[in-house]
This record gives sequence, structure tokens and C-alpha cells, in this order.
Amino acid sequence: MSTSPDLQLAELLETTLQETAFALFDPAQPGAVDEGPYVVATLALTEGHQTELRLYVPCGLAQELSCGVLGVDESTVEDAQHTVGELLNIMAGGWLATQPGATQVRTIDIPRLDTVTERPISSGAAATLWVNGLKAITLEAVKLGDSA
Amino acid sequence: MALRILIVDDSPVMRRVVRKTIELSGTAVSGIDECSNGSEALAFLEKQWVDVVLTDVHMPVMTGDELIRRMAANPLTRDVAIIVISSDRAKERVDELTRLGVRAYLTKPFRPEQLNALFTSITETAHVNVA
Repeated sequence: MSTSPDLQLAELLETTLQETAFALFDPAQPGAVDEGPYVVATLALTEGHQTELRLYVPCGLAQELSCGVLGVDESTVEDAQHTVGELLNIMAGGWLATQPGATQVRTIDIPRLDTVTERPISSGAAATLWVNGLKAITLEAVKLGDSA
Repeated sequence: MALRILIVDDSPVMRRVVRKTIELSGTAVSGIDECSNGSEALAFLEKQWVDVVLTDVHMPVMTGDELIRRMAANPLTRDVAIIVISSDRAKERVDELTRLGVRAYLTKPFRPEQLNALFTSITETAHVNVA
């Protein structure tokens, strides 16, 4: 039985954040969710076809994750952005490892970093998890088309 | 033997993580330097001997693959131990870089104990550098 892409993304999110940023997840959806602005990291992969991975993290949570990753008490906005980019980079490697042809050399682009006020509705596979009880973090994978 | 180490990664956060992991590994180091891509690293290595290069693969300007190829082709740098740190787990890439002489391939995230074991192995087999 194969695992659905949504579930694969959820496992990837949880594992990466636990191992890298020491963040704990609340499996139940809370009543209140921290809304934007979000740090968004976007990264293109070539795995026979083009896929774009996007990671949305509320700005406040991005700074918390940055502190976890760096082992410090405070972090800057720039640290937070680069942390989200690095987390997505790690997730990209994990994503490719679960896809067909995982042993072959693929292309993982360098993450693009931005801040957005709203999280658009996903057009592909997506997973949203709650971190430290309240704050939503979303990872999505959007198939863009066949690579040449 | 205290190691002189060069970290090559385009992510400033990852460079700090690697530096911190080296410190937590308990390895004796004589210095840690940082470059943000392969081209910067080659220029640095022309001026400064290091015992170990810890490099990412996917970087702008010059990738880790290219850095490793150029280091292998240069008598000045071909004996420097190279450890690749990457999120890319593709076996073909690992095999290709191993053929180029990379000492180890670590996938992110990694732990201080893993680095310590690698540094110990490098120290035990290193030649003495007389500058």
C-alpha cells in the first residue's frame, strides 16, 4: 500500500522540524491558528517532471524555529528567513528520497525566500501541522510539468 | 592534532549550524573559516591550508561538485579531506562524489557524534603539514 503525497509531506514536516529545530507538534487542530504574515520558501526540483515545494511559516514561528536550529535565545528576521529556506532544503532531499527513481541524480534548486501576508489555497499535495500548540505551518508540493 | 576547517555553504544559517556542531563534537580545532560558494573556497584555499573542507553541494556561482573536481585536480588541494554535507540523498550522486575522493557524505540533519567520528578518522590518517 503506497502512502499518499499529503501524508508523505506531513511526515516530512514533522520529522524535519523535530530533528532540526526541536519543535513539538500538536496532533489536534487547535481553536485558534496564528495567521500571517508568513515567511515562504520556494524551491524547484527536477524529478522527471518539475515540482515546486513551498513552505509557509508564520513569521513569529519562523523566529522560534530559527532559535531552535541555531541553539540561541533570540534570532533576527534574516535568520528566520534563512532557517525556513534551509528547512525546506532538507525537506526537499527527504521528498526526493520517497519518490520513484530516488537513487538517480536530481536537481534541487536554491530556495527563494519571501514574506507574504496570506497563504494561498494549495493547488497540489499539501500538509499543515500545528507547532507548539497554536501555529500552523504548511508544506506543499505542486507539479509544474514535464522537464525537457 | 588540531584541525583547521573550512565550511562552504551558501546558507548563513547552515554555516552557523555546522560551526556549532563542530564545537559540540568536541574536536580540537585550530581554526574554522567560512565561504559561501565553491569559487570563494578555491580562492581561499590558494592562500590558506586547511585539513578538512565541509561543503554543501547545491550552491550558486560554483557548486560543491565543481569545487570537489577542481580540488582533486589541483596538487595544492588534492590531499585536503572533503566531507560533503547535503540534503540530497541520491545514491548516484554519493557514488560519483566518492569516486572523486570525498571522504564522507553526510545528509542533513547530522549529529556532533557523526562529525567527531569522521574527524577522528581524518586525524588518524592525516599527514603532517609543514607550512
